[in-house]
Amino acid sequence: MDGLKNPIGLLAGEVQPERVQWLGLIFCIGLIALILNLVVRRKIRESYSLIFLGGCVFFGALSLKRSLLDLLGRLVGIYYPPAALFLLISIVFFAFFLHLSMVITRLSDERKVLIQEIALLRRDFDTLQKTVRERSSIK
Amino acid sequence: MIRSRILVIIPAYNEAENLKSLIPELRRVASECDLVVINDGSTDGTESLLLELGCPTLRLPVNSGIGVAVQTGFLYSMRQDYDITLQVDGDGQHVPLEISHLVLPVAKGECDVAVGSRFAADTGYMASWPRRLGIGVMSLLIRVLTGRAIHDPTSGFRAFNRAATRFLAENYAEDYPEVESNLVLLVNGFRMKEIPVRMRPREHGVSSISSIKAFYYMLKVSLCLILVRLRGRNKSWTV
Repeated sequence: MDGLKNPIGLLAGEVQPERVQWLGLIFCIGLIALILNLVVRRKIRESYSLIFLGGCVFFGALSLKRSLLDLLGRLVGIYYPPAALFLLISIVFFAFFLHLSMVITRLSDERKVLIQEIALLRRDFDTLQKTVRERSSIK
Repeated sequence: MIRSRILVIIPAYNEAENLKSLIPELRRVASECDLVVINDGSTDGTESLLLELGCPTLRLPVNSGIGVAVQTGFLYSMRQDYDITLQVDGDGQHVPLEISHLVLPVAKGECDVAVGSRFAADTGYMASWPRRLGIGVMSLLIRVLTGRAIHDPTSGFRAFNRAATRFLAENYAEDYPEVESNLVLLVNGFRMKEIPVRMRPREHGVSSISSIKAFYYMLKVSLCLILVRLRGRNKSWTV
């Protein structure tokens, strides 16, 4: 973790991979705190938060242990390990957006049914109200 | 002979100016039909106008698009047990005098759906060339996918019998639904007939399909048409 011990290195323009690791870890911890906060305030459902929390833990682990990234690169047959990470992130995000699109489609369909039922019930209510008014005026 | 109960469904979003003349005209010309306007969350005084005119209304709580509005009309017609449902756009382009030409073949049982067409014969309708081109492409696509010629697949002036009404109450696209619904009906074995009708240009307001949306419209509808063909018949449905 020389990068943090030697801030002069930054000024000198040296490459500091450890600094990136620290930044990654801090970002992951911050994100976990934010997600937990959102779950506590019921702004995000537990089921969705699990996906994000899992992702944070995974990327936090990669930040702490660089050899994991090398292992990942070797596993998928990619020479340059960060490229393997990029590929993994792309796949995870694609899958998650696809899942969200399916959720939105289902919610839109359900919303449509509710809107239509409200309109039809309003009509029934108006008709009933009119009938009651007419009957009471006859009496 | 028992007379058919006919319901005219009119989807409307901010069409107060056009409805002002359309509703009295419909009442005069098609007095034997019941009317219901589906107010799709209008913000231009449509609601108060309909109240003033004493016109039955289905009020959608939020603007939901033409497809949801028309489908609500089909649901209402189905639940109120009407024999024939007639769709008339709220923009005043459909001529109420033509209603009888659409209703007659459906009432006689010659077809399940009658589509009012501007292009099945020379009706004197003048459309801009981009619109004609778009309609031509849709028409060609339907012909390729079903082998049937529908000259005016975007027409929203249509009459449906009970079975078609019930089907569309369950299966109706949300945006730009006319072309897709025509194809779905054909794929599911409904008999469709095109009837040449006159239409007039809209008097007030602007069409919901602007030139910017036209490209998206073409893409979306083309994709939907191919998907409808790939899905094939609705297995839970028998005509």
